[in-house]
Parts: sequence; C-alpha cells; structure tokens
Amino acid sequence: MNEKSRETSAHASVSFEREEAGAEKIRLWLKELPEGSSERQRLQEIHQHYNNLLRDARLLVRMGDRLQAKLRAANEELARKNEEIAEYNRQLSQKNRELQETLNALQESQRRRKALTVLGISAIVVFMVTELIEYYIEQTTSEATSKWANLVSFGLKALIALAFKPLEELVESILSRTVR
Amino acid sequence: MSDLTTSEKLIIQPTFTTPEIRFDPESYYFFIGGNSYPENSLKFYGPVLEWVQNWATKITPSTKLLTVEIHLEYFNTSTAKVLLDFFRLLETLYERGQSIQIRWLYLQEDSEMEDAGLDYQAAIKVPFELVPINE
Repeated sequence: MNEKSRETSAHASVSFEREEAGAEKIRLWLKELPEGSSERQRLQEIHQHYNNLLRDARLLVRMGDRLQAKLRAANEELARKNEEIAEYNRQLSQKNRELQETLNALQESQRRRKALTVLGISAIVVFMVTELIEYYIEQTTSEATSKWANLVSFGLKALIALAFKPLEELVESILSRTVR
Repeated sequence: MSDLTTSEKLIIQPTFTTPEIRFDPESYYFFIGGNSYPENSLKFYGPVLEWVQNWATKITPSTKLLTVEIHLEYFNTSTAKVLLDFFRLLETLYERGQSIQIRWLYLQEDSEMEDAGLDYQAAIKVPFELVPINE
C-alpha cells in the first residue's frame, strides 16, 4: 500500500465511533465466553459480519462523498460553461443588431442615390423642355408675350428648384416601399 | 439470470447510465467501462454478479491469469457497493488459487477515480493495479 492509499483509507468524513465501540463490546463479550462453545462461535460469526459491514460502510460513505464532490464540480463547470454560452449569445445579438443597422443605412443610402438620379434626370428633361418652349415662343410670338413667357419659364424653374428636396424625399419613400 | 450461460461471453452494450460489460471466459478478460449510475443497480448488476458467481464456481482455479479491467468515468454509490461485491467474489476465487490481476484505469487528471481505486486497493486482497491513462 503506498503513501496515498494509506491516507485515503484512513480518512473518514463521518465518525463511526459508536459502531466501533459496539464492535469492541462484542470482542470483549467473546473473550468472556468459553473457548469452543457454540455461543462463542455464533458471536464470532456475528462479530465478523459486523466488522465487514462497518468496513464497507466506511468505504462507501467515503466513496459516496467523493463522487458527490466530483458531481458538484462537474455541475459547477457546467454552470460556468452555460454562463459563457449566454455571454456569447449576448455578444452575438449585439453584433446582429449592429449588422442590421449597417444594412439599413446601406439600403437608405442606395435609395437616396437612386432618388437623386431619378430627380436629376427629370430636372434636366424639364429644363430642356422649358428652354425649347421658351425658344419657340420667342420665335413665334410678339415681344410682350415673350417677356411673359420668360417670366413663366423662370417661375417654373424656381418651382422645380424649390420642390427638389420634397420631391427627393417622396421618390425615396416610394422606392423604399417598392424595395420591401 | 438463468438465460446467461457462463461458457459464453457476457456482453452488455453501454447506455447513458450503464457501463459496457465484456466478460470473456475464454480469454480470461473481464472489462467494465463507462458511466454507471443505473436507476436500479440491483436490476442491472444482479445478473452480472450471478454470472460471475456461476462462472467462478464452475472453473478450476489455475495460473492462467484472469485480467479484470475497470475503467469508469463516474459511478454512483450503489455501483460502489456492487463493485465491492464483485471484487469480493474475485477475492474468494483468488483465495482458491486463481491467478487474478485487477487493473483500475482512470484518467490521469481524475483524482476522484484514482482515490476510489486506492480505496478498493486497500479493501481487497487481490493484486490491484492503478493505471493512469492520458487522454
């Protein structure tokens, strides 16, 4: 038996004092009984069984305690791992939120760019059409009418310039609805 | 368990709560391994102990070495008692003259299993070797 085994078998987590005292009492009774008597033999047998039982009880209590400790350690480890997993999940949720926000911003910027393109082209077209109409009026009508036409043309261009921002937002909201 | 004959191998596949059991009477190699915390230890181990008891009664003790390997990761208290009974059966056979070697395998870092092995080693009179293994 090595050093560790001696330590292990000597250690008991509970006291068996009372049981040991019982065994000792039987041993003393045995001494009092005459050698070779049937009572002595019977008591000796009981003594032997009692000692075996006591030895097994000691061993099993010690072993049970140790296994319980092992189980507790395993449970603690499991709880620690669960906490780690929960933390990873929290981090993952945070990253998901950030990703969603970035995606939303990207989609919004794409919509704005599209809206600007649509409006830019529309403004150019309207500008060219008004220029053409203005030119046509200048060539075909009197000077007074031409002046009025110039004023109307200027007003139309100013209207387009002023309505540019609200129109951009309108186009953007239409695009956001169609994208979804 | 009367339907198990001792001339045949005793093989029980492992489950989540019960160990693998391989007792080969031809090669004189017995193995118990895995986890052991059955709900009813008597129901699981009763037939196994009966098999060993019958086999031990039938054989003529010899110098042919019976190797018994135990490699448990976890076992409950009732299994601890069953193991003690099993070792006592082997002890009786050893006292009759049968050559026996018990090998208690445990993971090197598993001090609880090592200590359990030491307890058994101290409790029985059969050659009992503690074998640390690296995973």
